[in-house]
Amino acid sequence: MSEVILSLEGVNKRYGAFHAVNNLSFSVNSSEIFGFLGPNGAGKTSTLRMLLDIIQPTSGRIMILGSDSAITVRHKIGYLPEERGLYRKMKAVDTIAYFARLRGVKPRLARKRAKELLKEFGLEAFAKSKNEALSKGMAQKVQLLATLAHEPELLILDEPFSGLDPINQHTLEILIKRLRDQGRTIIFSTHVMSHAERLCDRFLILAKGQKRFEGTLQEARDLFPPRLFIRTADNIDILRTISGVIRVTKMAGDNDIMGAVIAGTHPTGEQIEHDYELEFQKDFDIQLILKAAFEAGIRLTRFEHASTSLHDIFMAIAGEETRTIQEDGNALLSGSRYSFDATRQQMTYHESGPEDTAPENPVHVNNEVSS
Amino acid sequence: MRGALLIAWREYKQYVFSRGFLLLLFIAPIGLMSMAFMLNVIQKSIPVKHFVVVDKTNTYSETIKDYFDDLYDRQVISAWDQYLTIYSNPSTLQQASVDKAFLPATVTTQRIIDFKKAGGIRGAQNSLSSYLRANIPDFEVPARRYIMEASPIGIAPTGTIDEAIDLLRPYLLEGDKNARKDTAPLFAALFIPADFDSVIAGGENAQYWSRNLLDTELQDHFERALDRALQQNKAAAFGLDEGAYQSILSSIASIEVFRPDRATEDAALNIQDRIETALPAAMTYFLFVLIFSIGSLLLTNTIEERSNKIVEMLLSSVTANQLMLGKLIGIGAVGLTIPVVGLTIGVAASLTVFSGNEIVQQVVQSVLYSPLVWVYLFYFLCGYVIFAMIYLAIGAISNSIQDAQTFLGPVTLVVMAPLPLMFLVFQDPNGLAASILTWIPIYTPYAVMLRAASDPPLWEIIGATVFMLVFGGFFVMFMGRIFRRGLLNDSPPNIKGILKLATREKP
Repeated sequence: MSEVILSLEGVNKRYGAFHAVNNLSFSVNSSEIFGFLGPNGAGKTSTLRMLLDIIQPTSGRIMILGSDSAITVRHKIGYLPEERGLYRKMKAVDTIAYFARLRGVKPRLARKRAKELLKEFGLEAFAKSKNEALSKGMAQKVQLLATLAHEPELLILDEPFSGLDPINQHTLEILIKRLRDQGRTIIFSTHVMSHAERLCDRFLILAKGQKRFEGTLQEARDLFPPRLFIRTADNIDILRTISGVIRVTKMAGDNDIMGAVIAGTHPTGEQIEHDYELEFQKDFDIQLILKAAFEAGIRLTRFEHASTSLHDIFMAIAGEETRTIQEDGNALLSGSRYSFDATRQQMTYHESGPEDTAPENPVHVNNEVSS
Repeated sequence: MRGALLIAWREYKQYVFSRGFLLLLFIAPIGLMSMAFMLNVIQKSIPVKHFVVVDKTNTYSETIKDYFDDLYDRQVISAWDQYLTIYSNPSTLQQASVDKAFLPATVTTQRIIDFKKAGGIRGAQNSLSSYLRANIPDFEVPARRYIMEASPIGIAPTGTIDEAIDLLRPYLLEGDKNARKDTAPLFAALFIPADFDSVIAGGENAQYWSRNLLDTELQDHFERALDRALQQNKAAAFGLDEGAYQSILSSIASIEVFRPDRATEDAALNIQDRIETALPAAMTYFLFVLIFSIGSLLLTNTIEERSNKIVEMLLSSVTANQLMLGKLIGIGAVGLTIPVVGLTIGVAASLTVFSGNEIVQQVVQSVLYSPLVWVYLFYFLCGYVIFAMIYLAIGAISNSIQDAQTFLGPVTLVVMAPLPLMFLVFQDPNGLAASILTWIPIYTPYAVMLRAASDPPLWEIIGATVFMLVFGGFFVMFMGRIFRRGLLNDSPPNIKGILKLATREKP
């Protein structure tokens, strides 16, 4: 049974007048991969540094691995900071062993583990190379291994994928999953949603120092109505009348968070296909759409039941470009016409967004919407 | 503490086990030996200076010749004294039943006379051979540095000074222009006019012609020789014969130095006392050198860790205080390595090669067993910590050496400020300058080290030390805050920002 190994209660961090972290509370269970998501400047790194007692919170309480200070449990924690570096003149194997020793591993064991890790990650041949001779990817691997050599219970990775090529990103994803399967807990911050979507058991979205969402991916998806994308050149008015259909939106443009570009313009110009997005009430059986289309003679060239991606969720909850944090603390996402109520954890649809953040080319929404 | 020691060991290894440092460690003694050898060679290869004296009075040339003979005798006897001091046991030497003129002492005119009477350098070697240690090099009689030559051919004693100058001029020129092709060129010529006797009353001056006017040593000797001759003439005019005049010249006061804090029989100042007196100055100088050399190491090292972003990973493994302490210990140890290696070699040499040399033994005794050494070490460490913290703090708030330069100027000024006062403290360890410096906490280590051997008032030392420790505690706390908070700051702060870093409680 999983236990809470990290909890924050009402944590604040101020730098002078700047409120970097605002009343943050969340918890992380053992043996889970916990995503720490947020745009740049959201307060992710400050929070991670507070977890590690590198900096102290202005107020609030942090419990980590049963202790109120990470200093006493440092040997159980591995930390890969966002800004990474190595001692240029130090050998790779010495670097890994050195950090293991700093976290309490005996000299011989530290060296043994360093060698084993280098072998496991295909860097055996570079064990005695100086760090300055390693490629960027290899150096990042060495940094990661330096956080693993003392076999930490809790691994905190700040933007671990940045700077890695796709192959190494994939390797790292596999490693993170493997560590979780071994019973370790992994907290990682990122603003690349695809990694978080593939890896996270639970995640937290932070924006402007405030928690916007904490939960599983499914819980986040449940904030949005189920959706279906169809493509056809025929009239689909009949589909709007089906009970349970909330909206039908003709897609045009690429700045909608639900967006897709116009597709299927026929070269002869005789038939023009359009993409439509259909949103339903929960528990709606989408087979009814297929059935109604068949009965009405609507020819479909696309029929795609899509889950809301984490990217869309993130943009709706924390997207800086299109979101306005309102006075009540809720976010209004103009482009998507969704606003997110962080207190009630509820997504609200708007017929039109605030004027100051309206898209330049708002052709795609108003005329085609029914609800 | 374990984390701090690990940091310290890494810092130490990084510098000391680098090729450059090991090379330095290897080269340093070789360099010192080579330098000593080179100095010896240079000393020996200094060209002999040949000169002529054209004396129209016919009285001064003989005096000048005697002056330079006397100079050479002093040179030989001084070299002999030095040889005896190094290669014999001074305490047994004092009890040796030999002519006292052969034993090391001040070289007076009377001693030169006695030395020559007793058999000169050959007599000295024969008399003292049994008191010298075995397997030592032979005494080398030093070469003459000045040779007075007879006037070159063609200079008629009856001619004028101007004629003599014209005739001698070609012999004084450099290289190929010199008239003496086969022998060494003349270095200088001294022309003494016929009325030189009345030079004080307005007679013509003597003329010094030389091909190297920057080297005034020979000119100085001429002046002293002529001064002596003129004074001798005056003495004669007052009715003193030459013997009486020489007797006046040999009347040189010899002062033995005593310490009032010791019993009369032990009060005379010995070599050990002199070493102990010099030790504070040496330690203070060493502290200066260490602060400057290690200061730059601390600075570059911290800047490197900050700029290559490894510092955050370190701070997740150890506390900022441990990191700071590790650097202080590790890099401090780097600075101490060369002197410790030198001291170890010195002690080893004193126990082996120089085991019979009393002076070397006394030096080792003074350095290792003097109770003041512990006092010096304490204040040395205090001084090191205070100044090292400044460099650490600057390193922690700088992304590059260029950033650090902004702060280094005032810091260097603070570090160097007591230097002019140091000489005053050394000369008068219990004077006003010493007291002022003692009560300025960042300079207390320097001042107390310089004063320690001179029995300063105990209350002043204890008071100033307590003040220094209290100040040092706050200073380390403030600098430590700058270090801890500055390490993770992205850009170097301004003065206001530094004050904020130093005074805020939480990072």
